[in-house]
Amino acid sequence: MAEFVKRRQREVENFGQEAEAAARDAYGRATRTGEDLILRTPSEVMRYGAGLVNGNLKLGAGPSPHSTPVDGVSPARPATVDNGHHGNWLDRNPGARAAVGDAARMAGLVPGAMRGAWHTTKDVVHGLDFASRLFDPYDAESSPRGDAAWDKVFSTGKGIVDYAANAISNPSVVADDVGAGLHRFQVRTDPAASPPADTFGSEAARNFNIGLGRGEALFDAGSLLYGGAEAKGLIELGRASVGAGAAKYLARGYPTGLSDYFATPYNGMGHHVLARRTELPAWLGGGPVPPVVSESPFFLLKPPSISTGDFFETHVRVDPYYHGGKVPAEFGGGSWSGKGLGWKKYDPLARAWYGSPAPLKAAAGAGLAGAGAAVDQAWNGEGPP
Amino acid sequence: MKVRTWATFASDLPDDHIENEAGDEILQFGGKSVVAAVGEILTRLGGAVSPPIYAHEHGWQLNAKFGKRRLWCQVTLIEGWVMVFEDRTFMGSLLGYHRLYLEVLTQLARELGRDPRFHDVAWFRSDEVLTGVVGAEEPVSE
Repeated sequence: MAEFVKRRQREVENFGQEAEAAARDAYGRATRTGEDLILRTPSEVMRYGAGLVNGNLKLGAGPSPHSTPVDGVSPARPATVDNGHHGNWLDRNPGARAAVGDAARMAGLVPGAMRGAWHTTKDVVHGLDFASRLFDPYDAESSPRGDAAWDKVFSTGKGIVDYAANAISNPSVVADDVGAGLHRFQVRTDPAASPPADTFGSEAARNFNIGLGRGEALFDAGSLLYGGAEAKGLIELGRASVGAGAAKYLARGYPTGLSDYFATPYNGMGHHVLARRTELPAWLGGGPVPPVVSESPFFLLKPPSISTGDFFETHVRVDPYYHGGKVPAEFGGGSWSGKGLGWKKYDPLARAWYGSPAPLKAAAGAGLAGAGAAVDQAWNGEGPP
Repeated sequence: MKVRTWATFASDLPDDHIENEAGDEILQFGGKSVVAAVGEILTRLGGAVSPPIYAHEHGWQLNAKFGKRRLWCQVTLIEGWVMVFEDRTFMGSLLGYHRLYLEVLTQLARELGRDPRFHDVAWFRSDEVLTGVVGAEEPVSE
């Protein structure tokens, strides 16, 4: 019996060595030929090698399809043939890999949010550049045919109309696009949507990338709530309504005279971020904030070419001390109040965002976005350089 | 303790609301005489009061100093008059309303109630003003 057991052990060892060698050869061949062959764990190596030795598998019939990296989340590193002698105990310990994955995801949140801010900033910069081209009288002359800013406006508009028309006739187009977007989002943010790595370091890197994606998604969600949507292009939708004049106020059910008044250009003093009532502490000299500060573009919200109604609405929402006013006689006289028109005050965070002029937001965001740019360059979804 | 820093009232004083000849533009928002009258009251109460300060669509404002407290008042003409009176002392409200401010606020309400130039004075918290809530007769109550 003992002799049988020893002989059986030798047979198993020999078979294991043959299977491992066969799998190693197959993997080397696959590497040279570019064939997809993923062997993630020692057991996969042994199972694949055993199949080759037994003749159940043919070369080229890999056990798993190759996973394609999606949006910066690398799949698990393809396992090299594991002879049991490489890797440390951290690599072999699933608990340690899970723990480092959790920590890495958390670590990626803040730099991910910074990267979101950086991407938004880049969008805004591109948007500002584009906006300046719209008002450049020489843009059409200096741009290639069809590439002038106004050409882009019309082609984009046509694209939106085409998409809408196609969506009406074929609603599944929209569903497919949304589905694809959701899938990309899931892979970027859900640890279960990409295969786990087999080493401690790879698992940390995979989860850090997921943390980055989550952080960026959090920034986007926050900025969608608090103005990022405007920064990212929805501003055009708002701008379209400016041209509508009194019609947009009439559509809200406001009286004709008030709507006409609201459609006039705003030429008041604007909204002061540092309220004029603000007094400096004694150690800063006391007295009101100097006009050179309070009236500067950093602390005075007074958008150019805004209608009276649009500014009043913004002012009511961002300023706890502003509620309404009189209507000039030519527009029917009387008065209006924000509460009467259904304009609710913003919460403190939204008040800070919408009540701050663009230069102040840009200055305040520069530090955050700068750090995000560093994250963007250093990690960029592909691991450290 | 409830502290109501906002008030609404009517007044016989000139509204000082000025429009251009065409009547399609407001050249000066109203409230100069009203805030000046409030300033007179605060001066009688012992404060060092600034002249009326024009604040465009906010109306008119003034600053008043009582001891080390820097108090601030704004009057806006909407349907009637809307006034806010607050303690703007730097970092002065972190620990709650200062006793001196509450005293001045109470005295101001009493004087407005007595002054024949002011009518229907009602006091509100900031979340109550212009909401249709019935105002209180006193700004400070338990």
